[in-house]
This record gives sequence, C-alpha cells and structure tokens, in this order.
Amino acid sequence: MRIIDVIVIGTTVMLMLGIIVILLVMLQQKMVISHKLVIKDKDLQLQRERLIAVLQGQEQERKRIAEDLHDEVGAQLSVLKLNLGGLQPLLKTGNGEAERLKETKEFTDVIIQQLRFISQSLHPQALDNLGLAHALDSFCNLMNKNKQVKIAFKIAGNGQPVDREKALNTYRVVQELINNILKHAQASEVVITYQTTPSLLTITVADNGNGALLTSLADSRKKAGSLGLKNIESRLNIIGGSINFTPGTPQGTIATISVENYQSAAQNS
Amino acid sequence: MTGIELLVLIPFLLNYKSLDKASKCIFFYIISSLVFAGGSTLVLHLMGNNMWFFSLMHFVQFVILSTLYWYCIHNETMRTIIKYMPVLILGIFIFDFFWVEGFRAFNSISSGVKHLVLLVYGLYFFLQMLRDRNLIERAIYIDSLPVFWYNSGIFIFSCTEFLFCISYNHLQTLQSTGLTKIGMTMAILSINYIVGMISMILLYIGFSKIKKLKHANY
Repeated sequence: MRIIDVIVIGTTVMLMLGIIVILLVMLQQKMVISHKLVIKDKDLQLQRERLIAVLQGQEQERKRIAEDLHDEVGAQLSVLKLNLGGLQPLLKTGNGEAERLKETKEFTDVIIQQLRFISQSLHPQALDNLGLAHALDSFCNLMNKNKQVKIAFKIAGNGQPVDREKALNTYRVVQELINNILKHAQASEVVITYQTTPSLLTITVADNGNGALLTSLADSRKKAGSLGLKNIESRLNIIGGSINFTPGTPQGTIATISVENYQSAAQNS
Repeated sequence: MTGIELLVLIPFLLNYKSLDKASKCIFFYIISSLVFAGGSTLVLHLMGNNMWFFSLMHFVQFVILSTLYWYCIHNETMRTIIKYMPVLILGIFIFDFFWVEGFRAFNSISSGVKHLVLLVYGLYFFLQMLRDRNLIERAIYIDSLPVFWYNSGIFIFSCTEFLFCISYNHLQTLQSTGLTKIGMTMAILSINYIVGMISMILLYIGFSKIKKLKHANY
C-alpha cells in the first residue's frame, strides 16, 4: 500500500472517529440526564406518597379526637345538662338559686355547642354519611352560628357523589379558605357555590371583603413557613385539583377550586 | 471554501454585540480562516510560494482557539496549560520554520502538533461537558449549547487535518520528485475542504443555538 493511500484512509478514519466521539458524547449526556430525570420523578413520587401518608394519619387522628369529644365528653355534658334540669324543682326559691342554675344550664348548652363545633371542624361526620355538598352546607350553617360573617351555600347541578379522599381534601381546602377570609379579608358575606359536571367539580368561594386575601396569599408564597397556602396546594396536588384566585367585582376575592375526574372509579364505572 | 466562511461570518458580524466571549473567539477564528484562504492565494500570486504564510496563520489560529478553550475549560491546571501552551507552540513553529522544514515547504511538524494539541483540548472539553453536574441537574442537553457545536466543528476539522498536516510535507517532496499522482493529493485536499465546510456549518449551528438560548430566556 502506498503512503498516499494510507493518508487517505487514515484521514477518513480520523474523520469517522471524530464524528463517533461527538455522537457518543451527545448520547452519553442524554442518557445521564434521562436517568437523573427518572430518579427525580421517583423522588417526587416518594415525597407525594409520604405527604399522603402524613395527611391520612392526620385525618385519622382528627377523626379519633372528634369521635372521643362527641361520644364521650358530649354525652357526659348532656347528662350534666339533664341532671341540672332535674335539680330545678328541688331548689328553694328566694335566694336566686334558680337563676344561677338556669345560667349554669345555659353555660352548659354553650359548651355543648362549642364542643359540637370543634368536633365537626375536626372531622365532618356529614362528609362520610351525606357527601361533600351536604358537609359543606353543614359547615356553612355551623359557621353562621358562631361567627359574624354570613356564609351562604349554593348548589348548582345535580351534586354527583365525590370520591371520599377527594371530598375530604376539598372540604379541608374550603375550610382553610374560610379561615383565611375570617382572618384577613374583613368580609361580611361569603358565598360558596358548588357545581358539578360529569368530569369536573368546581367550587367558588367569593367574599365581599377588602381583597386582602390576594396580597396575603402573595406574601404567603414568599414566606418559607406559611402553612395555610402550602396545605391548600399540597391537598389539591394530591387529588389533582387546582385553585385560582381572582379579584371580585366590585370588591373582595373569588377563589375557584377545580377538581377533574372527582368521582371514584367505582362510581365512574 | 472562502464562500462558506464568508456566509457563516455574516450572522456573527450582524449580531456581534450580543455574542458571548466564546462566540467572539469563533468570530475571530472565521475571520482568520478567511484571511488564511484569501491571503495564501494572494501571497502565492505575489511571491510564488505561500508556505511561510501557512505557518503564520496556523499559529494565529492556534492562539485564537486557545483563547476559546481558555474561556470554556474550568479546570485551573488545564487553564494554566492552555495559557502557556502558545509559547511552547511558538517555539516549535520557529524551530520548524527556520531549522527543520524551512519556510519554503509546508511545516508538517508544527501544524501537526497544533492539531494534536487542539484535539486534546477538544476531548477534554467534551469530557468536562459530560461531567458537568450543573448541566445534568438542570437537564440541559449539551447539543443545546453553542460551545458544544463550536467544539464539534473544531474537533472534526482537527481530526481530519491532523493526518493531512503531518504528511503534507512528505507529499510535497513526492510531488516534486514525480513519485505520486496529483489525483490522490487532490483527493486528500478535497476531503479536507469538505470537512472544512462541515466544520463551518457546525459553527453556524452553534451560532443558531445562541439565539435559541436567548429566546428561552436562560
């Protein structure tokens, strides 16, 4: 083989080698990145599972405390109220004992009401028995008894049943929103609208407050330790829902919660 | 080949202000290639032999590309080597130019060493990009980076040129003694021209990636 042939072949081989090196570098880096992305996805999945486990544990504990309060302490207070009622005919008149007993009975009533409110807030029994729409309605009635803000509940559509986990998380989100409105918005009226289509559950929470909810949410996003908004976002993330805040007209804030495919697999089939 | 260099130069020239340091080095490299191509023809017509101009331009291009790698490579030891390498290469060029092959023949030793060093720089830069944790963590593919395409262009060109450069002096001797056919020499030159064009296209692809990166607001 002549030297010139060697050069031609060698040059071509070198060119091929150069191209192969470049292609290998590109391929290798793409493989490394896709591997890292797979690991990242697994991490996210693990974090999601942990979050679900934490929230489920939290709900179970809330349910247990709510049941204990309702069944044990609530029952005992009812017995106390009955006993107080039984004492009434035995009292002597003239020294104001009857009035004091009446006051004590009324105070016991207040305690029973508050206990029901706490128990209901901790775990809404209506959610398990009657579904999300009724639980929200019941929550509104309960809030109307205890607070200055008037909360109205409107239902549009036929109120199709919601998957239990999604219903519980959506309920908690609405609860958190109402808490935020009470804390920051200085609203006198809140309207909760519940709407369902076969594939989409939409709940709007509109208040007539100062619109401070939007700024408070923007601040919360910047703060590392803001639990309320994180709680809302985490819960919606778990159930595949989303929330959107818009300023209301002429004032206030409108929060729109959307949950797609909200019905359980069994209900769908 | 001057045509494609001129074509590739136009977008670099039009966007000169927005070019980063590496892209500016490539811009000067393309200009040097143009001067190399045009100048060698001119020198040939004026003086009859343009081999000294080849040596000069090879060294100028080496300095420009060393600057590019000095900007792109992060390892401090490697950067120090790149910084002082032109001095060593200059010594080799001078030695080859005056004492070994002379200024009337193609300086195979010095130009071969130049391409060998550039091959090492190119390989090192590829390895650096492969190991770059920042790129992997941010899931940035290296083929979206302008510097990857610049390096690819230079690397492919150096791969092809290396063997040609180290043998061209010998080929000139064979030609002058009539021991080789002109056809095969033309074949080698043609391969080099084609690869030169490919490398210019790769440089242009690198330039087009600057626009995409800006559009993506990185």
